[in-house]
Amino acid sequence: MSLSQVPKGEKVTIVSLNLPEAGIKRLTSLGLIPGVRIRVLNNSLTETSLIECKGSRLALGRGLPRFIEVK
Amino acid sequence: MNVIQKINIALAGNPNCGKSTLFNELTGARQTIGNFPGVTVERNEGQTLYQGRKITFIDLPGVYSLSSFSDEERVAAEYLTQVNSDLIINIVDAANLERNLYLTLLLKELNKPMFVVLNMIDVAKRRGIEIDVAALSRLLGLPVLTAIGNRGIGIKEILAEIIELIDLKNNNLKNGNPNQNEQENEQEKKEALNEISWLERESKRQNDKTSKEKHCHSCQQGNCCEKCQSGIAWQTAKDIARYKEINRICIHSVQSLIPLEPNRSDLLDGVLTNKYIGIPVFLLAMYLVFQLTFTIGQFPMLWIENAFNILSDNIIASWPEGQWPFFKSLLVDGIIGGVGSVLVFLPNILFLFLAISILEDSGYMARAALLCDRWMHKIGLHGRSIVPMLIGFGCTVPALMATKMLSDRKERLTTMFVLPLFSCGARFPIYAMLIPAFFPLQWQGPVLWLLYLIGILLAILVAKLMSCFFPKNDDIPFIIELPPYHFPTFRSVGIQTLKRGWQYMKKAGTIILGISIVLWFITNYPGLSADQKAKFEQQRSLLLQNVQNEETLRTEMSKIDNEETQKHLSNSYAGRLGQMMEPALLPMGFDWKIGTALVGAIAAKEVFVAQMAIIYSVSNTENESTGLAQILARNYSPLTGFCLLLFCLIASPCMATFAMMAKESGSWKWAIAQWLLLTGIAWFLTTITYQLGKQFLA
Repeated sequence: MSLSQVPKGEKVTIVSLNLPEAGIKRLTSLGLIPGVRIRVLNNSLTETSLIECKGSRLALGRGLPRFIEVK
Repeated sequence: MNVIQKINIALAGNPNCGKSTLFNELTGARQTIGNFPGVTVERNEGQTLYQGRKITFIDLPGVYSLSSFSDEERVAAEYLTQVNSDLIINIVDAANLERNLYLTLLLKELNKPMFVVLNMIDVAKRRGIEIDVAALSRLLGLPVLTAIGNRGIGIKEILAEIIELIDLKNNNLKNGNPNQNEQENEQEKKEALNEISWLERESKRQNDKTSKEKHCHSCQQGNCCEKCQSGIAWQTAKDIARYKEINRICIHSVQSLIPLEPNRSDLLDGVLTNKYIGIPVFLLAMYLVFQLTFTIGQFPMLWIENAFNILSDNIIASWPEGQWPFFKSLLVDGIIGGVGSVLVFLPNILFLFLAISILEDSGYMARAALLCDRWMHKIGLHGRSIVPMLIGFGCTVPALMATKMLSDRKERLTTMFVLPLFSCGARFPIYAMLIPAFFPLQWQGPVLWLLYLIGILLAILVAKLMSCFFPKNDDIPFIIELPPYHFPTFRSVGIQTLKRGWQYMKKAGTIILGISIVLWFITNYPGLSADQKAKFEQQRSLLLQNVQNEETLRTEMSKIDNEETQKHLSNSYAGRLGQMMEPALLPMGFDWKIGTALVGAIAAKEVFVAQMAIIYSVSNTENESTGLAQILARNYSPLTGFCLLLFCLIASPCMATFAMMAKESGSWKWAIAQWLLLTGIAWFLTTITYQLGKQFLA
């Protein structure tokens, strides 16, 4: 499923990033790579997910969560 | 031989790692701010003397990696690879070690002398993170120090380490020691190569999903254009290898990873980024910023104005009668007036940056940007653009400075471009005079509302159009880090605020002063001929002889005075310009008198009212705006009144805005383009309004 569908508070693992190269690079530099565990803090904002990854809080906006496959 | 050795140090690190705080601690007030060539990214440089050596620190922009997808990353990467700094200090947020180490590994691959500073080690401890510094240093193959930036702990150790490493480097150079890092680097490349077979499949799958076109556009910036896919695989393989390495390092040097328990920041975020409460809280915060900047800021503004008035009065009083009238006017009206108009913005700027650095340091700004991004993105801007725009309702000059918080050049230029359309406080005196003059009470509110609305709608339109012209960078996803909330320190907020104030004085101040002297000149010269002057003098002496009643004498006298100033202004270069412009003004329903006042209003919007008063020779002593309002209502139709309001709203940003735009965008080209475009739009809209209105009302 995509990150946008994960309910608040759940912990999930990133499976793949369905993004062009620039996007993957950016996510990689923030530690978001396949295999990483993340926790969803809030998914109620439109097209935006608030997550916690390796101790830092990140907001992924503009529909980005839809392109992140998690399990 | 006693030559002072000069050492150049680059500070690199992630955003929010406390880099700037450490930079402030290391350099104190000895800082200079500039721009990196060609971009709006700020360049902070500072110096300190230590053990007889002059150490220069460059505070590079905070970045997560060294790719070239944003101006900051490009600047940092270019600086690190091209400029030969003696040493790199990598500042790392100890509470966020795992993520920060990615950049550390990238920096290490540059093969330059460097060491790591674990900053905010106290925060890490509080969160239950124990870092084995010796093990970390051994695993990284780099010296590692600890520091607590906001309390100034660890500064001396950093300076000592710098000296030690520099001395070591110099000795190595003397002994001709080869670079020892090379071998390690080879090893890493081999490791990364092993990963490729798996990664090739993975990245190929991803590439199939994304369009080829988009892909190649992003490739232009990288070096993987020839064989796109294997290029990506190579890059990704390297990244995977880096994260593997980071994992290994952390396992052996970090005691406990953070328990994923909700903490204070989570609780606050529950409210501040809430779907429903978030926006009202943001508006409240902005209201407080506005109040601080403009309501409290107006008191020092009044003091400055008064001080300058007293100064001018004293100079006028003590000036020898009839001597050097040109220099008297230049000094009093040109220079003192000009310096006054520079200083008058200073309280606003200081208070605004006080508020902004509190919002930034506390961590709230990232949340505000997140909340507003949904709407701002629709017009091609970043969520952060909302802050300068709201400030623009107060004054465009500090608002332009506030765009510093926008890192993307395109977004920043677009925001700066539309800022004058947010009706600023200086336009209010114009509205306050013109609206009651031309409109009945029940229409006054709606007209004012309509003006603000037209400004906002135009800003949205222009921003939207501009974002179409700039190349899109939709490939780069929108991610912002939400730093933990904390109380901002007095020192860092203070340094930020003073730095901005000084920067304004130095950069924009000189230009504003220059333009005000030019405007003083064109509204005062060439002046009246000797004949005309004599005529007025004659009238005065006639009056003195014939009128006995003191009351009538005074009113008659001021009538003559006003007539003289009116003649003086219409004869000046500004007046002549107004008359010359008349053909362009007529389609909008304006005459040369309005034109002359508009030329004066280039200095500052509110000058328009004073200039109109002079042209219609309304006495200074009576109530200026009511007297003037009656005269205007007699001379012009409400349609012309509305057109005038519309024109003043859109056209010709004031000279302070012009100067600031040139400085902040890095080019006069942008300031001129903005001035011409906005004036063009204003002319066009006002002409259409006037011509249509004439048809309908006739």
